[in-house]
Amino acid sequence: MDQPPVPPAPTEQGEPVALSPPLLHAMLEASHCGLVLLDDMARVIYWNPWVVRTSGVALEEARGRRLGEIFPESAGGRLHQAVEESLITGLPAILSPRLNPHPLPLRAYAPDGRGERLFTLMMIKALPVEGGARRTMIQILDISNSVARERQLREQARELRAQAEAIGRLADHDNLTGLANRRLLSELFFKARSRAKRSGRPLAALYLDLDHFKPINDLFGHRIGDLMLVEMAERMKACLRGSDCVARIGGDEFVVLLESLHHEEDAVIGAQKLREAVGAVCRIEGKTLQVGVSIGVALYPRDGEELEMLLRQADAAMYRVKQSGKNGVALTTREEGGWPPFG
Amino acid sequence: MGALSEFEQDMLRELLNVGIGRAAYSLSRMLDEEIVLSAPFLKVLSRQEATELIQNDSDEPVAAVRQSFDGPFQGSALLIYHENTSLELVRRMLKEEVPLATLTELEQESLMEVGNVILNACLGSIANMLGGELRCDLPEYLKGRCETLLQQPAGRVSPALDGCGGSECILLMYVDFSTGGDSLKGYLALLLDMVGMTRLRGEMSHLMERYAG
Repeated sequence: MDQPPVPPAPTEQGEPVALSPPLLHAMLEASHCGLVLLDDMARVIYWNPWVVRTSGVALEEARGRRLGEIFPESAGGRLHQAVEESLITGLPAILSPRLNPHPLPLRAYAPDGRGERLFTLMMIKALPVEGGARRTMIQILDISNSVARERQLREQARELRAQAEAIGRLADHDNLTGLANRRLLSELFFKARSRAKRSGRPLAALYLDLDHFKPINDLFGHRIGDLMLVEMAERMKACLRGSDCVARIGGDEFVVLLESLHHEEDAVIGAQKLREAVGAVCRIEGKTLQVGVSIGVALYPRDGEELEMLLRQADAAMYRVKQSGKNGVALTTREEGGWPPFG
Repeated sequence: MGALSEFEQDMLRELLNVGIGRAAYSLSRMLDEEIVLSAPFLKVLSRQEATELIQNDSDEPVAAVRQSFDGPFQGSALLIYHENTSLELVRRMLKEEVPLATLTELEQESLMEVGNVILNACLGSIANMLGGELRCDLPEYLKGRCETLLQQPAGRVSPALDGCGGSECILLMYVDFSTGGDSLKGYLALLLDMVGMTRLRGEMSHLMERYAG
């Protein structure tokens, strides 16, 4: 909409000062944003010194020519369409910097003329028709600083998010092997138990303790011991189905959850597979090494409702294996398990 | 208000859909991917009814792009999105995560540009239909409660718009924006003064007569 004519401002003497053409012209020249006036054929009538400075094109050179001729790279683009629409329908347009980074090749001032390209916000607005001839005006704001600031903000936000994710991972995973830690194990158990409740299929908790691991640490050092643990973790993961999970809960102690078993014996079969995988010979940094593993198996719901309860019993079963020669699998017994009484 | 019959409202929707289709074409070129816009709904409602309809979909605050105009008639056109939808829209347009829960200045300007293209298409169609040329302000970005936004006077110069019949009704359209996936629902509200509304009614009944005859 058009402003009503500006009323003359009173001077100190009370005399009104008219906005004379020289005064208006001085304002345009002093303006710290780009102002371009186009005629009904989209030819330049005027642009102010700001545009001269940023485009490197003098007003005399530009006058009477279309923007597309002066800046061939911008011909036919969005600016061109917006100007055309404004001349035909009188409707305004805005060209935002994220969608149109550089509608015109404008640069920050540099003595060699090769300053940074400016990011701009452009507004195109038709002026009232005078004597039947349409004029339209382009206002150009340099918002390169805002663009740089937002880019920085965005990067910082991304970094913060990546850090939060890394912290989240540290909080639920074992640093060395990348396996779930005890905290995450509790969560995973909770979810697995609800699925087991719904499906009615048993869930097994396996307690694994490596045999003869300590001598490896003592003989070859902790670095080799750590590499060995990483290798064992990989082998365990390779034995499991997608729904199963393995956690490291102590130096050489692990817990495996096996879900949706058809029979309770399946848990023992799964445990045997893990024992074979862990017990196979491995080579680490040129050394041939081998460990065994003792595994105790407890079952939900047979042996209890809570993870702590199941692990206590699996641990007791594992202890029996240790006592009777190691490197084997044992299911909880009635004494360990305190199963519901028969009959 | 029953001044436009169901049939007339349908016809008006079809007419405006032509403009909306043109806007979709421009946006597709701008964003370099296929944008589909459709306007499946148009009704002339009171301010109260329009507010309720929008709030019924969600009670979130809204973000809007507004263009006010005058000429042979005056008023304003608003493209309104629920805040979360506005974030999703900008995310799809700029093809990147919007990291904050609210739009930054540059993101607001992108939304203003898209709003500008859609509003121009609609205003162009209306001006064409009713004859005469509109002098239209640059788009502005508004944020707030839907009722506050729709209660504001239609144009800045227009005491004529407040408290007179024309301002009390709003032409409300749904504008669905999609880039292939789910569509995002926006609302286009056109507030017209008495003269504009009267002309609109006249033009619609004129078209109806021609259609019937």
